[in-house]
Amino acid sequence: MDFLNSLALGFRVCLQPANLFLAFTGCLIGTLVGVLPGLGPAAAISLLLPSSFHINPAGALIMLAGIYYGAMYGGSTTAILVNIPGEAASVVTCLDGYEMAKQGRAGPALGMAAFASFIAGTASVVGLMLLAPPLADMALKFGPPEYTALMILGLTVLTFLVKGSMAKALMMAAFGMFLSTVGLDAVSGVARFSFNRVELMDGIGMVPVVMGLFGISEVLLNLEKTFGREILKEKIKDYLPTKEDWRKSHKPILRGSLLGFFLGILPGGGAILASFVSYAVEKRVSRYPEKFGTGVIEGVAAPEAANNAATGGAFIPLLTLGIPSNVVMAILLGAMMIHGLQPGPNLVHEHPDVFWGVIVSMYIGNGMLLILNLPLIGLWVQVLKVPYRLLFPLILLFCLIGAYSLSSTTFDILVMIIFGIIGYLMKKTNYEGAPLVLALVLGNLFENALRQSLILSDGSFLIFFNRPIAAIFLWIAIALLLFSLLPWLKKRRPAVGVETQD
Amino acid sequence: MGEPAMNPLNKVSSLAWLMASIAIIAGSSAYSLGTLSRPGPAFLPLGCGIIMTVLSLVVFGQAVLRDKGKATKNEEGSLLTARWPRLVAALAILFAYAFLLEFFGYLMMTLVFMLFVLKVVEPVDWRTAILEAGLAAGGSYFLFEFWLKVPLPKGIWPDLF
Repeated sequence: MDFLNSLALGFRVCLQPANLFLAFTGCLIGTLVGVLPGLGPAAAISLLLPSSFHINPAGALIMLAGIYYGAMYGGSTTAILVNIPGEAASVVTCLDGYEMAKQGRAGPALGMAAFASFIAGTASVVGLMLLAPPLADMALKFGPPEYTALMILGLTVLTFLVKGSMAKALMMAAFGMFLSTVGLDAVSGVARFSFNRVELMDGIGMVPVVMGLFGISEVLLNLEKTFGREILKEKIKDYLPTKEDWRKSHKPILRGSLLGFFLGILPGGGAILASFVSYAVEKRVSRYPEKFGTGVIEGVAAPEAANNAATGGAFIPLLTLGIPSNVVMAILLGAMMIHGLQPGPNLVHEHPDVFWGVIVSMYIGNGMLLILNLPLIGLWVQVLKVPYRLLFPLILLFCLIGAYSLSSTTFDILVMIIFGIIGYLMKKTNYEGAPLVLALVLGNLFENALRQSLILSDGSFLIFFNRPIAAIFLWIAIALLLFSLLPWLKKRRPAVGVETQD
Repeated sequence: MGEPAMNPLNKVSSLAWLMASIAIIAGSSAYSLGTLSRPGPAFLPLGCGIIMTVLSLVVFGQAVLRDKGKATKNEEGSLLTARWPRLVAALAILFAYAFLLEFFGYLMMTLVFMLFVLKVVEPVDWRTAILEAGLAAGGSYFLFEFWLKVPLPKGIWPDLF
């Protein structure tokens, strides 16, 4: 009964005309961001974050969340039509989606991507709705040692999953953690590494760092290349998949939904990991694995289901524990705090309107996205034809305005540009930005939890191993670190990307 | 042949991070470390600096060992690109925008910014550049100032706007 009342509250919040409009806006912008290569959901949410200050908290989160799962829908359009993923979670969709398009089956590929996304997205919202409240209750039993251990696990998982050297990824996490210490120390009141600048007293802002690392640096990288796009010229028809397509795809969609949802919950997991793993699983269980990559519908249905299911799962640690599981959630965490919301186990009790409003908006948003992504395909194809030489100055301009509007000073613009240069150099030398950003966001939470734990234990680190939940988290983190040292595994560790902006 | 000129990127980058980590350790020494039961403000930054130092040495060591092994394909790309003037131009206009925005105001600086990018970074003819720059500046001003209510600097013409 309580559950139904909560759901009714969510509908009352979400069906307010203003919030409905914001859900639609978020989904539209998200689809656009997903369609356009070069600007991913992380950068887009950062850009729109300052504009959300004037909106009520529930509406702001509804819009920003819409951008995130909307981008998953939109990314498949360019993957199928242009063989360029609109955002990183659609990389795998290129493999079979573009092949289907070349065979004259772009319509069913786009249709199946949209339907799989809708089914998985809706299923993940159900999962979120059912799991989040009991998890929030369980999280009330978490103390500082459990939070410390969970954050260590999250950072370790993320660094384990990035492409390339784990040593580099860990170094970025350590650097991000260091950056989080800039500014006034909450306990002692000492200004650390602020160089007597007033702007640094509150620390280095996450938003300009993300926009620089993922937005500006990507533009700088793209300036090195000639950006060519060949859009499929044949008229797209028959968006509805056939009965045979459904027969082949219904199990991959189910498997992708489950996999994606649980991988999305994992700190450090996310839509990209989910799509890669789902594709690998379908290839493994298929009766004709050799056909994957030649245009099989399962190769589109499964990863698209997985990446959308992961978006729902990703909200669980954020809403229940106040811990972001990927970079986009990290930005949403920042957004919640800016709006005066404290994410964590008390959110569902203190702000049930926001909690349930966001969850219900995801139901409604998935429906809107199904409509946006099929009948409006022609519009998105036109958008794809916008030349990059016009697109990248607009992206730069939006980044500049976004950074300025945070606190109406040019300091944040300078931070963004500097981190744009750092991000560019990092990409050239194979250092991932995601561990840095996640550590930057978690840094203050981590430091407080660590200090409180050491105060509780009178300086003994054994507290993390004496408490069962904290011990489990830590042993998993240690196992992952040891695992990565095994030379034979280093060659076989899946080279997946993590939730970056593209 | 593998590109040995590219392998130094790993060594150079790891040395750069090593220097950064030493600077962090040095900077942390200005604050109190506290005790294990009462960690001070230097506790976490010093810990991060030490971890970064160790890891940068590990990366450096991996790069040296890889150099001694078989020649590898270039995995990292080049820091020097044939299109570096475009990068320099883009960065120059970005910094100029940051420093001059509040003085000249949003509309004028955005117009100049778009014109520069459309003419210098990705050259198009003047007519196209002026048209696109004007639309971008005006359209974005309307979108952010009036619709999204983001206060933008008026610069030296506050009364005009």
